[in-house]
Amino acid sequence: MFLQANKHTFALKFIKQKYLMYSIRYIFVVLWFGLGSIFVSNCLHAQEHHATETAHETVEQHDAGDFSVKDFAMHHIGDSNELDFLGVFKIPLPCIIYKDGSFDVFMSSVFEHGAKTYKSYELHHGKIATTDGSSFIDFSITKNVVGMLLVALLMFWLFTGIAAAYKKRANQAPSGKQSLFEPLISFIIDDVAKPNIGEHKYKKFVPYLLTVFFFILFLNLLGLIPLFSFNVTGNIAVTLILSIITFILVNINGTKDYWQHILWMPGVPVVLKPLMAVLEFIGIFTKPFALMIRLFANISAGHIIIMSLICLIFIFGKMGESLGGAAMGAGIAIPFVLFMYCIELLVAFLQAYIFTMLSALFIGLAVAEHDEHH
Amino acid sequence: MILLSSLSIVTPEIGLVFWATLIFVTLWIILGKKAFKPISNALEIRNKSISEAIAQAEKTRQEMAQMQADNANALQEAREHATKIINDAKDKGNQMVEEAQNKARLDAKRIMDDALAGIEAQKVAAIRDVKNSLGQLTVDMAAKVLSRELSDKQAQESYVNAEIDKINLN
Repeated sequence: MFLQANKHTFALKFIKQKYLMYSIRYIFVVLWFGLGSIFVSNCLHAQEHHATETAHETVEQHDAGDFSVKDFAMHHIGDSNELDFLGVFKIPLPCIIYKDGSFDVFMSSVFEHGAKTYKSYELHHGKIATTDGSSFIDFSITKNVVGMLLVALLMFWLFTGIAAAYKKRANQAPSGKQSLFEPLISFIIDDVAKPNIGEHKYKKFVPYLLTVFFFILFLNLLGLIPLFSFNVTGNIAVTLILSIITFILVNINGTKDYWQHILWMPGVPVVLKPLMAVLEFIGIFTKPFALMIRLFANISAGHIIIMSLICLIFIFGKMGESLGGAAMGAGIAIPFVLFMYCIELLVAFLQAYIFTMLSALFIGLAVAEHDEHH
Repeated sequence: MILLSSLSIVTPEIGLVFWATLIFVTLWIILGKKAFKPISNALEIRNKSISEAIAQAEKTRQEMAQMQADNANALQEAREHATKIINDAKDKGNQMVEEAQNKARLDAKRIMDDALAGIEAQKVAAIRDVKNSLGQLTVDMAAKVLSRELSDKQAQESYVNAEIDKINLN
């Protein structure tokens, strides 16, 4: 009797889970097609627009009736020379331009949000450009740099404090922020570094793995705070740097075995060895490249989806013309945005974990000493 | 589609690359030295001390159990020893009593036998004495009777009786 009841609840659970899975899949399909159609229409629209208005290339469309989801989302996920709080507060940031062997330093407020030019500089699509088209290097402290600095300061304060707590309360149970972060720290050490790199060599890489994990995690979470609209880990320059550092760490710590497996794979017919060498050599670069793209694409995609969903409100409301439409757009968009925020929260942790785990794995593959040859 | 239509987001900017490198590497060096190395060492030391403490506790527990078992054994042994001693003492006591009884019985028997032998000897001696005395008396009596001239039968009888009365058979 009991067994039967148990079976029933199990079946019910199974059906529920299946149903949930299907509904999630359904939502994704709807999202995919919905967003796809929005982007397609926008792109078509933009192309059409370009075709009709080729003469004034520099003048961007700012008509009230025309609203581009793409521009809105791209503006959000892109970098910027000012900090924008809710579009109301705008804090200018220092611009540092290296041109013709000298530095030009000025605040971004000189542009007055793109309305004016300064010296030979102007803001073009929110980016500094020269009016005469001459080349320069932009070392400006942009929104993303500010985000990184904030996170770096936060991490410095947090982890030096935690280290002090460990010193002060040696061999005692953790407390306060120490106990909040200890699970994450020991997770990275015991479940990421140790199993992937190995008992003997993991210690050397623990500082890097912890730094990269918390750096990515905090930047991901920073990107989820609606007021600030940071998108640092969704910027390819940042993920590029992180993956390059992993790449360097992997290859400078590569053992003889590692290089032998790449250049002259043991246990493979001689005919195949050159082919394997080529593939393995490409593999050296594809692994960190995948790291770079994965983090960048995941975070950017999340931001784009959220931005696009929010744009539904404006599209349905015809940019303020139809209040009912806007309400309907909000009715559709808000639950989806909430859902996406939950997913993004998961992704923030997941991507930080994946980057760290894969870095540890690649390092582990490089430092491993093979006893047997296969 | 987005990526293709706006290549700027997949083009890393040199300035940002520079700042990202600077910030991340500085953070890595400082935190590695000031925070993560001390933290991971502290964690390792603590983990070790915890596992040692647990092992120690387990060992102590086992020792305690062993000690308790030893104590119980010792107690059991002591009890057995005591029982043995008591039993031995009892046996010995019984044996001693029996021996004493036997000895007493033999002594008593011997004394009795001696006494009986003495009594027998004295009885024989007494009887001999009586026989002797009786003989003497009879002789004496006969002499007296013979020596006295008795006139009448009655006087004679009373005289004999008086003489008999004089004989004290003690």
